[in-house]
Amino acid sequence: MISLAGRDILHAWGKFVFTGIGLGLLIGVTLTMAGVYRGMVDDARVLLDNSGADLWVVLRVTQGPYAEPSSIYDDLYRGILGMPGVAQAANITYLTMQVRHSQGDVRAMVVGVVPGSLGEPGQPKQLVAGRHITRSHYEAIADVASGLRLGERVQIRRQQYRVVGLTRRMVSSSGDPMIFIPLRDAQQAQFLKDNDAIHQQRRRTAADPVLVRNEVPGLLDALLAAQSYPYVNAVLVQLRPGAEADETAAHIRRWNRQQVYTREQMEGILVGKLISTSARQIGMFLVILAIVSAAIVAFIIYTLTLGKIREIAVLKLIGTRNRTIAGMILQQALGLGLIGFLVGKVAATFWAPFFPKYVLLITSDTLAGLAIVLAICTLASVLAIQAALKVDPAEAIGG
Amino acid sequence: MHRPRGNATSLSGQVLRIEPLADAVTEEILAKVIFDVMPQPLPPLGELGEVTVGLPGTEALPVIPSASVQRREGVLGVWLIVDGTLRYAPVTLGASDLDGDVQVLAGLRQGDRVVRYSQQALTPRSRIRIVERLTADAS
Repeated sequence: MISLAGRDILHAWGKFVFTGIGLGLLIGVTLTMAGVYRGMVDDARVLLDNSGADLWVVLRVTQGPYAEPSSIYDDLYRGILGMPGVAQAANITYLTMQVRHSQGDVRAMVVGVVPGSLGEPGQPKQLVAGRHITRSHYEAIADVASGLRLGERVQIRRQQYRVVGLTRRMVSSSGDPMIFIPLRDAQQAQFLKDNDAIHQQRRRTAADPVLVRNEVPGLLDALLAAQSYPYVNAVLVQLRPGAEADETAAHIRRWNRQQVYTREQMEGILVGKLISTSARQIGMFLVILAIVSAAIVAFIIYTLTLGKIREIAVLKLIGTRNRTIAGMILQQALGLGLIGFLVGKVAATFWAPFFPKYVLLITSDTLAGLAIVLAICTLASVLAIQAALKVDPAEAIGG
Repeated sequence: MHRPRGNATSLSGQVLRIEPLADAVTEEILAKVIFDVMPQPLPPLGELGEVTVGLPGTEALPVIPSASVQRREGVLGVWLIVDGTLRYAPVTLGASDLDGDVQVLAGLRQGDRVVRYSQQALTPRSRIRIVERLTADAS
């Protein structure tokens, strides 16, 4: 038995293949859109993974440190270290800002980590070049996505830092590369104002008659010295093996009077709240793209079938069964879908690395895409089959 | 050694005394340094300098780059390469220096090969391709 669909495709293969490629590019865009969404979720997940924390201790009544600003005293970690189940606790600060370097500036998330001892929570886990921060000041580790190189100097607020190490895929939840600097410097970068502002602040304090008291000498000096900023954004906690996260979190909530989030809760905040609007935006776009693709596939198959209406009439005239004709149209539709899917998958894989933010193409999305494409093609061919079966065999000779 | 900002001269000195008060967060302590030879003229008050304190030498021990040290399930260690496969070896670390080298007190033998840099987090099942040089985009 000869394959009607195959013979027909061979008859006008150029048209068929080019239609398939065109369709493929459209499917590629749709697959990429799904990849953009997966990339956003993955950015949020790697942010949590890379912090190396099991618990996040933040200011009460906030959902910090990523979704909301949070500042807590920087000596709180000592009390937390004493809680049962806590193996390690380290201060951390996060500040998203424009970091200036020799060629301009780059948007980055500046992370203040406790320097020195290795493997503290918050520190970058693996490097791709250079070394860890060894000095307590003025050294930085940057993500390669920032475009910075080893030995380069960057300006973060008041100070210059030398890049001593590079990481890969250390990004914030919005995909900005991370730059790690020592904690003390990061606290200054976040809370210390510029020289003029400090001068103004001191002048105002000194001009306040309530504070300048001759009978209490030294009061003003003490006040000025107290205008420091002993805050960090969060304390990252690592649990002892076998310790229950919820139990330890409850201890810290009760005795240290701070808010504590576990990994699941933090993921809920990041994925469910922080990126939810942009995710829904992309989801909406994805739905529209899918509908448009489906409509285009349906139209293409319909017009391809209408173009062959005479041939189909001839087939009917020579007594071809309806099933055979329907099978031919369905096979062609599925073939078109398969070519389109292959082209789309290749195109998406090819252009995904060139996107400025992370695009994650996962296998389950690809398989779902394939299933949807084939389902859409089958549905679309129903219309075309109906049109074909309604053809009057007389058209073959009537013309 | 004391280096005032702005010019390259370095001045030698000695730690005179260490203040018995540490920063509550960074655990830094203040130390007073006295110059061997008093510079003339004296640097202005409030001038910043960069100080490196030389410590007495330690006994010779194997060192590894600190970039190779990982923490896995709460245990510090390194990824050992044994016959092309990876094995996590817990290590006890000693003193570290400013160039990112750290002494290994226990856990490794001389001549062991460890992973220094990796593109991704490693697991015992990771397939690895060893490169002797880093590519241009990571250098």
